[in-house]
Amino acid sequence: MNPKSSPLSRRAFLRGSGVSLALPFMEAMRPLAASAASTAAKPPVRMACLYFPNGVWHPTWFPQKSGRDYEVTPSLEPLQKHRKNLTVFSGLDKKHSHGGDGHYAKTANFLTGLLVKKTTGKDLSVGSMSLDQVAARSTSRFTPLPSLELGIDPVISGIDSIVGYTRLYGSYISWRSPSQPVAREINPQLAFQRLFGVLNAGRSASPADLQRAADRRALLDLVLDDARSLRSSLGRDDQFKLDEYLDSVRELERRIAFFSAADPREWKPSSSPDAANLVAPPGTPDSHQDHVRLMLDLMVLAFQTDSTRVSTFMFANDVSGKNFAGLIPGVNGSHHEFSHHQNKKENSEPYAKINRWHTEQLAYFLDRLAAIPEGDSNLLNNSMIFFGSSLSDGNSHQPDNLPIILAGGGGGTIRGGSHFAAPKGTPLCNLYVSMLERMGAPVDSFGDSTAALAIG
Amino acid sequence: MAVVPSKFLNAAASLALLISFPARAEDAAHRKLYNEKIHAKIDRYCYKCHGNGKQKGDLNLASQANYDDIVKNPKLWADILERIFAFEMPPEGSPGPEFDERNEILDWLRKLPKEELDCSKLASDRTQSFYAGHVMSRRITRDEYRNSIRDLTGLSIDAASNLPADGAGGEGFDTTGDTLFTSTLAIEKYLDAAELVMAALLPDAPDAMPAADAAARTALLGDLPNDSLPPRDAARKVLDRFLPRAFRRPANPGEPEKYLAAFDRASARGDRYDLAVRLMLTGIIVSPHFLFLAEPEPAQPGVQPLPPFALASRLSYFLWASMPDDTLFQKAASGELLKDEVYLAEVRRLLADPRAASLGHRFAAQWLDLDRVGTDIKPDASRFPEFTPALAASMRGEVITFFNHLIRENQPLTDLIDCNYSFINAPLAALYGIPDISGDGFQKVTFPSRERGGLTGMAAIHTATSFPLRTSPVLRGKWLLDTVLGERVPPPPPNVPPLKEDAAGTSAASLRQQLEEHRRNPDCAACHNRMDPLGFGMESFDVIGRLRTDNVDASGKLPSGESFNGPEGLKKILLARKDQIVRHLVRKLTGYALGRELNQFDECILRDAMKALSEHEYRPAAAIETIALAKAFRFRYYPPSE
Repeated sequence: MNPKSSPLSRRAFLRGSGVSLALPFMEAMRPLAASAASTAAKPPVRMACLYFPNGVWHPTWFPQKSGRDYEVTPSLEPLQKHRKNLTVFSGLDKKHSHGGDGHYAKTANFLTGLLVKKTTGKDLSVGSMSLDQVAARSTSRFTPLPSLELGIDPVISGIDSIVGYTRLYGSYISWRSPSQPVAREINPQLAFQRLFGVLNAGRSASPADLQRAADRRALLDLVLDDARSLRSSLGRDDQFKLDEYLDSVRELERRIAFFSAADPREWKPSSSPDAANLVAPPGTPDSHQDHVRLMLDLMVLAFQTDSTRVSTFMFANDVSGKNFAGLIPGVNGSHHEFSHHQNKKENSEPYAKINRWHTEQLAYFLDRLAAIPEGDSNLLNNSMIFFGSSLSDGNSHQPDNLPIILAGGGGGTIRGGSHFAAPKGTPLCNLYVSMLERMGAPVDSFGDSTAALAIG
Repeated sequence: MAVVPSKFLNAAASLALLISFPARAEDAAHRKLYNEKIHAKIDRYCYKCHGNGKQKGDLNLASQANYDDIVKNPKLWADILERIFAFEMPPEGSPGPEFDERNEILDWLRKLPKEELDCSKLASDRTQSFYAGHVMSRRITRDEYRNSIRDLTGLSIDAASNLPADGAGGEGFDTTGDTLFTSTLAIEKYLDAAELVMAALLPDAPDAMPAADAAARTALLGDLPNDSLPPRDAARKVLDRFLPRAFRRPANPGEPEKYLAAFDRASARGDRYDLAVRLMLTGIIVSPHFLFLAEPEPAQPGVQPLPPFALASRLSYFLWASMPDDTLFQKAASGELLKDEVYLAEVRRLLADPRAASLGHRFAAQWLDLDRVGTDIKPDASRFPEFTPALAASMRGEVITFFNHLIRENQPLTDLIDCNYSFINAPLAALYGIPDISGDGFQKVTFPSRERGGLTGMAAIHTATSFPLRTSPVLRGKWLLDTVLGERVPPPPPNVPPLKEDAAGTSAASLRQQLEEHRRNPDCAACHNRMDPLGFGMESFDVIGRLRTDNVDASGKLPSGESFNGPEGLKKILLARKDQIVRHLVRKLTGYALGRELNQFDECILRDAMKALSEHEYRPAAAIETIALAKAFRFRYYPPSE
């Protein structure tokens, strides 16, 4: 590589095998001119939902004591530096997941709380639009991207004929409608390029860029017209497949048009990554940890630049058999296999270590968010980071007492610092009601909720 | 070979739903058992929620408590059987039957008379909702996109690599319309891909093109604008050739003008001629007419033959996972394709074409779950350093090459169960201990001994059915039952007691012991007695498919009483069930072709295919032709508009 290239060159990004975007981003970060940038407008609240598969080993996860002086458990230990910024939940339940199989009926509805229809495809349903998409309905008009869906694994292929569900249920937590999942980007290079495209569209807008954007809009108009006429020629059973196409094209048109209209955002980020110097990582790294961190970095970047206010991320698909050998000392075998611990130490120990690895990644994410100043506060204080798994204990698959953490201050509306031991049977969706209120998307009820959860 | 059952060529007009329940010699014992024992059990375990009081799920079983009522409703009782078998009913928390009692109920339910189909009839009323013949208009899959772009442009590029992956549904294939979604991300990627494809086909600097691509460009552009050919007219000619191929049908009135507007847009600002054409063609491959296999409604509702262009696409996407070629397109344009003999000749022509290799790459790979080998199924890297991405690709390649050999050479499908040959390359030869094979290409080898040959001897299968660190007779047995034999395997009952702590161990001998212990529990035995012994027959192979050198016990004893030893014995057991295995394969292939789960009406296709196969030594063409000729494949039911 040319030694004279920018200090934020690809090499700086990819130091050795440990790909780190953290440092370059922070170095690149520079306060914007104090003039127009820092208006009096309040920073918006951002929401990320992070999912990890296969539940947790209870003894090392859940604290015994509830309230503010809960004891530190081994799996939660990495999060202690953010203790005052987060709430550990126990007792939250998803009643519509008590039936069905051990995984698909728990994961597809992680963010809807309603029944996952048992099917290999026909009349697929997760009950409703998911939490993130409901939130995005209220925030999307302010940002170029309505929401950002990221993952690590490609969609699981095939059906599970033993339990009678399509495996794709284990690959999606974000649903645009009860029957339509939102596709995720899993390639960090493409994800970065996509976000940089959005960032640059708001900045440089060279004549060539403008022409390309205008061409794209013209082509989309053309195919939208095709889609309308094709739709009307189809039987009603087929029309809804074209509706997906129509909706998606309209959405893309809106995005391309975003920067040609007046920016609807009053608040402007107080800091900015120097996008011109950022280089996308070359493809997908071999290391799972590097891959995960790149995706988390991307979420930070998207939130920091207010490119979107809603994001979801799946550490892995459900039933993941990922082998953490090489990442976690002493862990050699399949995640899913360990989660069926049968109360044997040889399984529960690596299982707990894998749980802890996930909270370490969350801690990294929270570090990154906390390091980004926003006025007198920081990005973490202005965010809600929801983190959890869709089943409680991997051996029994029960969807009660879910392992859930909510981090971030929600713009100063969430107290944090405690273990919230909810009464048995408290719907997880009660928490969602509280979160939606903070996203400016208040609802009377959501999923199987019975009330809002008092997290303030 | 001709396998055109004449009754399949009936006129559509005669089609109507008819399921008959012919009088069956009454099974007095079955009735007696119900009256004396089973009714009381159903009363005890079911009526509480599904009786005259509560009617959960709108189901009142007490209202049909007579034996005669029950036999009139075979579909309902087949569903009830499934739900009990899968431990879904009675639900957790409700009192349920003990082990023997449960088996007694299941046995009785299994002996209920099945509904019988009249295969000369088809279609249904609205209550059957998705009748035979229903295939949903759908987006093309990621692989179909790659192939279609290749065949449309003549470029050898992978245009689909950045598209989001598709899930699967129905019988387990990505061709299922229900599970093919079109998200905003996908549209964005289609637009990106279209720009990349067209930039490769019509680049800014055509002089720098590779020779093959340059030829594709020249063919695409045809006559360039000249004194007697204004640019717009030249562009129109390009469009008149390109659009019908991309849309797999002739242009609709007004359609070319719409796309010419994109050419005009680029020309007006001074874009070079070929670059203005580029913008126009970019739009075409983002259009839903290219991205969707859509079958517009005819004027007449009811069961209608597919119009020729829709039929041509359905056939080419089944056999090639790609668009029709010019010959097939011409047969559709002339209407000849609707003639049975022309259609059958096209089926055979497509099957003989190299593009039919998509059946191995897409059908077999999904049926056997090969895509997961080396991705989410990976042996432990430190214990099995030999398992590299190249070896994983070779493993998948062996199965695909073998399957495509059967298709191309029309070799008996029973070779999947047992034969003495396969196709391997250097990495696999090293793994299998076969000398004198070099290179990554696959060559046919005849095995000196009987362990290999057939699916059960292929390393991809051994890897797919192992844990990262050890083999699993349970997974292997489950694979044989579920994927190969097509038997229903229920999930484990809830709250299975864990295996004994001290039984742990990874040596093959202790594993066998552990599983025997497991099967002493009657809750486990019901299924594991079917599963584990079969799996032990593949224990001669290690996690990555090498023959084990230790003296592994690969013997098994089935619930039927049959005993066998090792892979060769296992293959004999499977060969005795060849009809069941081949029928399951045909079922999957039909699901792949139709893009949906099969329903009761489709049993007719399976029956006809099995008949044709048995008359033709199980050679695959017989089954493929039966599927392609089936009414469900060639006709569609269009509901009357309201």
